Amino acid sequence: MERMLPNPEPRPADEEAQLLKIWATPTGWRWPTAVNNTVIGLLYIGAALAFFVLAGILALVMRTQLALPDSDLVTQDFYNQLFTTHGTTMMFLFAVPAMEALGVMLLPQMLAARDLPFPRLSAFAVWAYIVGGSVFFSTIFYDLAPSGGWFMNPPLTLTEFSPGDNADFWLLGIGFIEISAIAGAIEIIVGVLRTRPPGMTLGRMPIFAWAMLVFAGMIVVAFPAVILATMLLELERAFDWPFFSAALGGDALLWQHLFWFFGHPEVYIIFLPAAGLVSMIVPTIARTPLIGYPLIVVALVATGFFSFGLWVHHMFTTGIPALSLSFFSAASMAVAIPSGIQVFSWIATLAAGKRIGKLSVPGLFVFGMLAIFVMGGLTGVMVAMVPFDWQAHDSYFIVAHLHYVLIGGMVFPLFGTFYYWAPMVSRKLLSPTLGKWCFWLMFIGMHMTFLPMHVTGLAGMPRRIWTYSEATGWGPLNLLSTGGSYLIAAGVAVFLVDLLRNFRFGRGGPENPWGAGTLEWLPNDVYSTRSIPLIDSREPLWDRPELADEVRAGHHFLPNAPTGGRETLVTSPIDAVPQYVIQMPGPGWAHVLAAVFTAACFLLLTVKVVVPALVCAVLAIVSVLVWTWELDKGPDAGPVDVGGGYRLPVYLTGPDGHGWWAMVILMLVAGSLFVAWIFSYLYLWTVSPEVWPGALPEWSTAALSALLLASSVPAAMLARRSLAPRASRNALTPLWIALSVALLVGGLVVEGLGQWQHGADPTRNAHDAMVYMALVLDGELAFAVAIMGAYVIARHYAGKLDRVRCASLENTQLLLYYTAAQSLLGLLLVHGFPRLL
Amino acid sequence: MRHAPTDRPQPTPVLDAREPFIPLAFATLAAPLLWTLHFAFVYLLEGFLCEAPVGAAAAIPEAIVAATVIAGGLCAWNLFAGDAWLRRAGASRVESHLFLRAAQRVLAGLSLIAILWSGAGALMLGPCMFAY
Repeated sequence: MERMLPNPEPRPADEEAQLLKIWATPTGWRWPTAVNNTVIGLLYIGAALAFFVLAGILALVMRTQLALPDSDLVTQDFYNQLFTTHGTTMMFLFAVPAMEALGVMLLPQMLAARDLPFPRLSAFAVWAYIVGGSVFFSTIFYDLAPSGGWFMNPPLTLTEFSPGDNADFWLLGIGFIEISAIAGAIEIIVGVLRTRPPGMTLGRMPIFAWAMLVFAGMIVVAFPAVILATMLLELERAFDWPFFSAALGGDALLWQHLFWFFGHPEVYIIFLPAAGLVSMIVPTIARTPLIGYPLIVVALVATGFFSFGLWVHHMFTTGIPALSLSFFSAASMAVAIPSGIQVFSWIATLAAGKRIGKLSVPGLFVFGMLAIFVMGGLTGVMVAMVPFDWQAHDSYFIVAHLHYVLIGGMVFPLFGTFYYWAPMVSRKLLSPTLGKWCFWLMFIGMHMTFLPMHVTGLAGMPRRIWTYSEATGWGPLNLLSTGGSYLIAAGVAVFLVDLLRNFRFGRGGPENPWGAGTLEWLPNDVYSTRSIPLIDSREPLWDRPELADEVRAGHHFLPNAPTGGRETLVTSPIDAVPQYVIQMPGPGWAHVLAAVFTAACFLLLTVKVVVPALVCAVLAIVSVLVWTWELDKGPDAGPVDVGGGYRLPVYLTGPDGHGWWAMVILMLVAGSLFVAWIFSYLYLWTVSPEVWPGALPEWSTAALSALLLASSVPAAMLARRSLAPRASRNALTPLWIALSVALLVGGLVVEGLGQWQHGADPTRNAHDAMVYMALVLDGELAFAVAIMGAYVIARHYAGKLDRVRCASLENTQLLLYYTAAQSLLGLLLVHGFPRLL
Repeated sequence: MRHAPTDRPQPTPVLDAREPFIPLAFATLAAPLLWTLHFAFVYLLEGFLCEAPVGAAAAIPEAIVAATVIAGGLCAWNLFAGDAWLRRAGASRVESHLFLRAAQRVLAGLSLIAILWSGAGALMLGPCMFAY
């Protein structure tokens, strides 16, 4: 059957030049304003790799200290700072950002989108991460690094035992970087679900896109728990709100619950994208489609769910009832099934391969990953057994296990990725010879370092010990581990040399050098692909060898720039049917400044320089408003012809609009944070019911607060209803907006005053601290709504708000509804629950 | 307007490209969501009734078994009759429907195993036992 192309006629000669001009990357001093995903993605990956190298150097110092018994190369306190900064940097500044970076870099190419839907949000996340991460890491150089371990357990990290600003750098610095990770996650979810090429149904999506979708969903659910934990600990350290102090009704274990609710899924947050990358490389190596594609998709989704039932797996020795432990032990074993599905699927695909000759470097890393990760997984099942965990807990056995899982599950796939996808953005391939040296040095070094640690752990060597006596007999095994760590470092050094010698950013390298079947290997330039292809299989380049030429000739969708600016196609989330064209922003300074000022605000707060921190906060908000002012471009440039008979609008609001999706995901983040607060409130009640009050503020205060909060919702609805027809204004609109915001804020003020007048004091006990914490969470959201409300009113007076062009008002409304609902639920719990007792 | 029941995307205008994404997502993910609810219920039940000063801890095993039977039963229903759930949620196009049904079925199987494993603890261990 003759295939009908969306744009079968020859394209105008100047069309590609126009695309090149529109999507050109700024040069010189304006380069930081760039937002193209390849530039931002490369910057992101480069920064993550730099943090990997820096954290690796810290590991070498630690291994050198432990090479011989009774060593005094570093002091005990500095050793504590080393392992804390090493773990924190590897987890927060390398592993998660590296995976988000690959998402930013690869997803638009794999989905043949011109860019992700919110390019400035990606750029903001990257700059925030670079500035915040650099300052955090630099604390190791001037004795300000935290020393409480990467999971910062209180009471060790309370002011009493960790005075100074060291722990605050962790709490504010990492809390801030988590916000950057959430920004990236929102971008990835909307990008994967809404910017796929026509015909790329969910069942045809590249596995990496599936992995990133699950990854981002897990970030949305998991990260808010640790954000709440860091807020609680910082409030206790700074203002004596006793969430973790047992004497006033707090409980140190609350931190562990919140931290590990994030911390265990974090392992899978790191592993799943890496598994997705392996699932992309394996079919190319084997020259055959991935066996069990639907099973791998299911395995990714199931892992995403089950990984949230594992957090107490890290708390088996904390005195939790045996029956509770059994639930987590069962979930720990259940999660092994989907992981096993993936491993068996890769092995089956390789076994079914049409020809696997001499292994390429990415293939070597895949095989290395399989070996290492399976070993780490097996010791994971061992520590999922409660009795064994009691023996191995906090010993070097755990250090060995976690490094096998993380290096096998993430580092090896990442290095395989570097070698596999480098030709997509480099004019030259990386060297196969140096790649093999890199692989073997890292592979041998990895086992030499961590295999002996299983034995040292079972022999009783505790983790985080800074030195040991010769009489323990641990010396020879530690020396072996140290030798191995230097081999790993040599492997990484070879890779860096390879990068310096051969990586040259730019176009013109070999096209599809591995003969892969997925869209990132289509010919591309700064605008991604020349036209957005119509897809009808999972490996379109294998099934339709002519596709590359068709796309390059502009015969598929959107081969031009019909609005004259940056655009990409939005399709429906399941069947990828074209819906509309997004008008995207180009380069700019505002998001860069927003990132810098936000990072500066957090860091200045850390060292308690409050006034400059507030100035930076104001400047950050102003920068965000300037950044977003030009995003809502309105419908005037449409509808446009994208080919295939589709004439699409260039502006949509409501559930079809990508902005609506982003706001809904943001509300899920806020909801997850609030659920973590509810858990914390009830948890502390079970621990210290004696501090829960007998007397509460009068119902009348709570009722007035509830009335005001509830009234804000119809006021916001009326604001929307009052919008004037296209290109006109209704004087009532700003009044309704202002009234809705005032009612929302008023409701919270009434509740706060009621609590204060009743005598509630957040420093008195854990109950009162939790009550005020609800107000903090609600107040943050209300503050955001107030800023957004003022912004929408400004747009009204600027003539940029009407019944059609109303995305900014719609988003404000959504957040207001959510804030009102959360605040009402908080009121119900705070005023209702103690009355039930 | 419903999409044509075909596996091949056709470059012809689709007047209404709206899809019941959220209902379909819930129908497909019903089993792991059930696992989530079951897990949260049994964990919170044990945690709160053992720690909180309200008594009633003796009823924990029976409550866990009942919750496991209900959640497991719903999962099994989803496993064998989930197609109707998808249709009710609005699945129309052949290829996507088949893919979602396959995913739904395997997820239901995995979730059923995980629910039974979690609940099995109640048959072997008493409530509020501390091992040390």
